[in-house]
Amino acid sequence: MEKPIITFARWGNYTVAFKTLFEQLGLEVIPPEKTTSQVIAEGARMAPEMFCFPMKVTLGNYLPALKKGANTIFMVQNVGGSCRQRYYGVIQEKVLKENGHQINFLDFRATPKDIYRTIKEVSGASFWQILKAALFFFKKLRLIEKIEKTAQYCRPRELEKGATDRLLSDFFSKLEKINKEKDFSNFKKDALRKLKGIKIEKKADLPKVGLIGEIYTVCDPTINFEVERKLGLERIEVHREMDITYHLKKIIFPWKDWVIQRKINPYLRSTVGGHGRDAIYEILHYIKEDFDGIIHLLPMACMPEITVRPILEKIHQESGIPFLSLSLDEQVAEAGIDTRLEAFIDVVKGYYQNKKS
Amino acid sequence: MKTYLGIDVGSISTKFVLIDEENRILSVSYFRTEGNPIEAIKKGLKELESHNSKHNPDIEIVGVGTTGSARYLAGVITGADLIKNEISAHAKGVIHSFPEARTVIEIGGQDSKVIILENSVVVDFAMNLICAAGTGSFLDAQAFRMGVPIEQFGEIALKSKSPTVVSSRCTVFCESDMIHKQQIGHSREDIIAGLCQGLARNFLNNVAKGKNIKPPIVFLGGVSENLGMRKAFADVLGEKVIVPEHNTVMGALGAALLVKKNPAGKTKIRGF
Amino acid sequence: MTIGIPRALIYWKRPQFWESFFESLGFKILLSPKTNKEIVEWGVRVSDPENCFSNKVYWGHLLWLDGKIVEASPHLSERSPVCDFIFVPRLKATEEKLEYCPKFFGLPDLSKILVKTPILTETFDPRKEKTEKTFKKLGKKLKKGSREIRKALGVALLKERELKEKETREFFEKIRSKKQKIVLVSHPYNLYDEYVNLRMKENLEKLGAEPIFIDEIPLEKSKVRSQKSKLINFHWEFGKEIMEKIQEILKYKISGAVEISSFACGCDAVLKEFVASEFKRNKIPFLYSIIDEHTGEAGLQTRLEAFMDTLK
Repeated sequence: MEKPIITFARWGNYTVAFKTLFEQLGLEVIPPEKTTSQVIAEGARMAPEMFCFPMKVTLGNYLPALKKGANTIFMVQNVGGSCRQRYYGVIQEKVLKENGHQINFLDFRATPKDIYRTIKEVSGASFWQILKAALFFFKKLRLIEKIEKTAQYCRPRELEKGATDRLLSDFFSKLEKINKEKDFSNFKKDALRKLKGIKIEKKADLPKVGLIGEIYTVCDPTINFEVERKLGLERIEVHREMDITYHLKKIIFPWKDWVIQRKINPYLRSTVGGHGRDAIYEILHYIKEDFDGIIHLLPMACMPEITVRPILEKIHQESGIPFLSLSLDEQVAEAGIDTRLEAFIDVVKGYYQNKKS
Repeated sequence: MKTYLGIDVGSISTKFVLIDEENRILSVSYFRTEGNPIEAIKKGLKELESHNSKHNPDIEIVGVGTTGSARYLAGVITGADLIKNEISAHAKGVIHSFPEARTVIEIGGQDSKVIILENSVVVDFAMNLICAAGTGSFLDAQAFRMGVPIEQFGEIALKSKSPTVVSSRCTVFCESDMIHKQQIGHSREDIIAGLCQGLARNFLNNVAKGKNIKPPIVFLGGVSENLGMRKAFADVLGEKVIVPEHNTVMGALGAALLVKKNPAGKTKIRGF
Repeated sequence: MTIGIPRALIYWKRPQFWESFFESLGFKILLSPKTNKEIVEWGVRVSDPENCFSNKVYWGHLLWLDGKIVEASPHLSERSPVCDFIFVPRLKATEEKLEYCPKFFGLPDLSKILVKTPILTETFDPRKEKTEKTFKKLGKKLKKGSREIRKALGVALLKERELKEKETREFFEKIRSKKQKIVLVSHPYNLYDEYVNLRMKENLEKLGAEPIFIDEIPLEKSKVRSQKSKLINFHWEFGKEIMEKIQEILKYKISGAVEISSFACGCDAVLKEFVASEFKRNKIPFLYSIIDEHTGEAGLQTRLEAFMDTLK
């Protein structure tokens, strides 16, 4: 077997952690390039017509790496439960083969056993090496998530517009290059210190908006037209439950799903695939926490999210909380999204002012 | 005299509204963008300048607000003090002119919106997403095809006693259906009235779907000039539909009112 | 007491089964009419725009049973339908532990939001609970004891078996036909609903073909147990069934295959790739068509004609 050269799909800021995981195992990695409209167009061109958007984007992510010589692709199955996500790997492999790419497609279920087995097969690494690499991966991942969460707090309050985002880009580009645990601890200390150092309006009480919806769309700023950043710059504090740790916690501790199901029973008594149930749980949670608006992000025609959307609309009508649902795909124009966001921000601010008076 | 200027630059038309300190409207202009927003803005400014120098030479514009799809461009060119999205601008215009309004339907050349108001605050809204079959372009295209000037569309529609049902989801497919209906003998009035109803239904089924439409209902935008459309909405909604004064320039009015509310101190306007 | 059953989506998976079951228990059944223009219009009007077409049609049937459609269109001169319950089961998995389309999972909850008539439901998931137990629970809701339930179930299953046997006999007759045999691949709710599929069967017959529904193809019992597809293992019941039935029909001489998908059907976006591959691999001409509320019969007819021409 020829030496594996790995590539994989991008997933927002978390991509950096995945790259580290593979490199730590001694594998050669060609990381996916930044997702641009061209990448999306290439993916959409190759992908089957009525398929969901994340599949098209991730397909597009592989292509430049394949051109550079990647011959092995990692794609996880089963992040989506009953929805089509589990077929991404099979479809992508088929489509790539039909377009003349001879690659080794590693399609594995997101269980610890399967992940371990796949990694071991490809890298030949020992148990300890794999464990070490996994721990380093989690450390990086947790730091990325912490940085994102801190940014959600700082950005709307920053005294110097853009300070938070400049710091973030610096962090993520540096983090990508860090390979040693020792360097990592230093970096982490430094990053957290710098984040604390962003000059912010300490006493600011700002409107809060929750982001709910399909996990890939919610977590990847390139795909969702940087909704988090845009809201933050308009002095709105953004919150979201979804990140990779959230999803992993649910796999390891299945009772979270039971808690969710119990809470949403008045509205929906079943799974619907993907993170459909979570959207309902989160909107109810944010209403209880006295939030000022909810943005629902989803790929166009996403089966689970479309199934629950009428329920979300009903909850919006019942509670009065401002609600905006944005369906995204390769044909959506950013200008249209921006106009809606701007109008929504006005509605949120109006709602917030009304509450205060 | 201190005045405030609102500019709404859309893909089809550009609107200017000038108001004074007492919110009185001093001048209004409305003309086609014709694919060149920069020229349209320049033209509007020139016209405004010449109008002012003739009638109100002591006018001082102390604030400019822009809205519409080209609002950022307009903002840069004029040195605007406020750039606002169309939803908030139209809402402001309506709340000022007609505060009891609960629902606003706005249909322009290439876009359409519904805004839900409660106690003079926007609580919900939607804009057309997928295509232009629910907008003015749809009617323009059919009028052109039938050889009827769009300005007469309304009167002809009102003559109809039983509007034909015409497939109205897509402008192109609608044409085939219209030809078919003409061939089987439906009259021109009935078809035109049917088109108006089709557009109204299309709007309600797509843009306004799921929105809580309550009276009083205000109808704005270029398409609200069409008498046939006013009747179509009234028929389809089963409610009275109000077309206020300044129905076609409400966005620009809203922008002017908003910039007046938040004066920037010294205006950034770049002059003519 | 009258129980309303929407003649759409899940109904077509087991036509007449539920009617037999409830009628044996002494209930009256109100079946919504065959899909028509008003039903589709209403379904589209109330549905989320990005929902699949088949689901929109289902809502239309639900609204009819609730009386909304007749209420709104008095010119249709139908008596207002009245039922005490509308039966919307939550179908999650088959006996083989394969899942149904995830859209089915939320049907009862969304139905409750849509209509005023109370919804009668029970969750059918053999992975969690024996089907027999589920039927008992359903029985309890209807105030019927286990004996009556078992009897009614027996009657319904017998009826179902009779229908299946008739279908199999008809299949073997069709397969002997000298006409060009065209396999129609789709979900039962698209195959058997003539309004939705724009009378595809009739149109193909007019063009001299012998249309065979994928659904009608009988599988030997043993086949159903193992799934040895080279390409893919579906976790969806229809996925496995359709792929196996395609393997089966390829044993016979067929001239062409047509697949129909509802607009925005997520499941078909996956399924179609494999269906198309199978036919292409076996050099069978293949036509794929999407249907929705705007598809015109004329357009489809043209495509079918052109397709049939290529077979000559």
